[in-house]
Amino acid sequence: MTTSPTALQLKHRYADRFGDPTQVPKEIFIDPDLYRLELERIFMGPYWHPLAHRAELPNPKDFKTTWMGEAPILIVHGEDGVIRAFLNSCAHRGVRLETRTSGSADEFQCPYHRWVYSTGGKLEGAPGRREFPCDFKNSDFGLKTLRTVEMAGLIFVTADPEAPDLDSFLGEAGPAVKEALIDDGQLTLLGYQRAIIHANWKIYNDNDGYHAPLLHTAFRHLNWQGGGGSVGATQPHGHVYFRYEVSPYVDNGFLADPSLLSFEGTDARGRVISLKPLVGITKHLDTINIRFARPLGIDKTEVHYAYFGHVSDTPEHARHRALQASNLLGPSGLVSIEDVSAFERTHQTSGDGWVERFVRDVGKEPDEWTQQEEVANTVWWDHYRLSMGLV
Amino acid sequence: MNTSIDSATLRLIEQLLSDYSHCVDNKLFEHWPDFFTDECSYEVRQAEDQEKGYLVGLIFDSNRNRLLDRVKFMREVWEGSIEHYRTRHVYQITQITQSTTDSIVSVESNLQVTYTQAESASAVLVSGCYIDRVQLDGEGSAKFLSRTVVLDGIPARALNYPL
Repeated sequence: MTTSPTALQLKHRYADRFGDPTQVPKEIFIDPDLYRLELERIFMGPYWHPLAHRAELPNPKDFKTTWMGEAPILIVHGEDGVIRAFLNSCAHRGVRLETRTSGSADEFQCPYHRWVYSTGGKLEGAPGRREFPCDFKNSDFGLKTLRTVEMAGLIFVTADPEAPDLDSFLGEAGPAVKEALIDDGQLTLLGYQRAIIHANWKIYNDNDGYHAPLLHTAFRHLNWQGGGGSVGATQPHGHVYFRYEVSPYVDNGFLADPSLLSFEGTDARGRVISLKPLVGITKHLDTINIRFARPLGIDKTEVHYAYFGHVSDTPEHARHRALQASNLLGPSGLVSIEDVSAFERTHQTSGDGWVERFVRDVGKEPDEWTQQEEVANTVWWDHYRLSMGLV
Repeated sequence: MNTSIDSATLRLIEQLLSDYSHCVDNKLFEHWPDFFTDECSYEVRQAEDQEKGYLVGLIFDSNRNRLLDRVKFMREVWEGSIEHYRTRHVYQITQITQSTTDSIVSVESNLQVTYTQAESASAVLVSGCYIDRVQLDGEGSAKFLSRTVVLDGIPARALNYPL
């Protein structure tokens, strides 16, 4: 771990402020120095970032572009069937190679000097080659390839050779992720929603179980809680996972079209997983959702909600999933719209010099945590303050 | 603009669009479903997703009951827990087409909407277009059979209200 002057300054700055993971100093949400260190230690550090699902690029030559923190990423389904992740930067002078969000490509050509890369990331050709130094080798100028591991179709990427193996990183959250992706990961892409949330990425990432029946008055109007189950948080990263059986909504007349909440599938496993640092995976009713996200500086977070069906779906079931997805768990959905507002209002107080405090279920052993807890998030906060060298 | 549209029909269309705009900017949402026919849809989608044919939308109200439910969410569910903002819808009709035998008129309009939150400067919420199918009943009434809002990019904030 580096001990740059900035890191030492930050350690000094927070030495008396972050001694307890249940009391989070709010200035960490608006500190630009800390943000630079987060990009280095978290987004380019030893964490596995799920950046795509195979269903988004199902055929050889399909690609998707995205971001890991502020690093541009190109994800390509190779002609050998392997999905790889590259920096989306020409290995020559650093032009962003592909600017479309998704598509299919035989090769990737940089427009600046017409260098051409294969779908496997190899440099295939560069004009003016005879004038290059005689020791120039194409193999030294391939796209920078990042480590990837695929699990249930989900493509995890890390820029850090020191990252632990994926199973150790995910811990007990790993099986929950697989279950949310219907075990085999044989999904189909139903579409996206994109939103900009005006809050620091760590606030967006800090949702809890305590708020659910309180903020979301819809549950009271509907006389429905969605299902009861268990919660856990992994050590040391603090991935939080909820497992429950979906309890069907019994129409109480509140909705004119109760199909918004109808459960028409056969797989009643409900799963809500918060993978650190910044990806959420939800399987609720018939909706399967991966929330990819990236920070846009200290005060905005861009969220890409990707929705999926299963290859075995009938067209009618896929349409039902899409209708439910659109209006329930997205940025303008019946339930999630209120979370967005809560995140933004939390961010708005970041300059008051005070702390956020966690109390619900704090002090209890993990096997005593209730589903309406907020203590699970403090595992991440403990990890965060240590990994950022703030204590 | 298609010159086969008679001036009475054009007036009906213009009235529908301006009344709708007045309704949403003034948050008269109880009247919002009345702009639609009994069988109807209201959708908000991003252009790229629309072009690729994805099913999911930012808003996907596939029938009139969903419109009624949306009004209920705004009035009864979200009232105390979301941030309010004012809007101004500015639109311009760019295409009107009607087959000679049909009582359905296809209308496209460019759209820009500004938003203003408490204590904040005004800004652009969305840029995009409306793609409408308007049903004429022959007795001087026009309603949306479908209204699809196609957004050029990501809205500047989460959408609390229909566009």
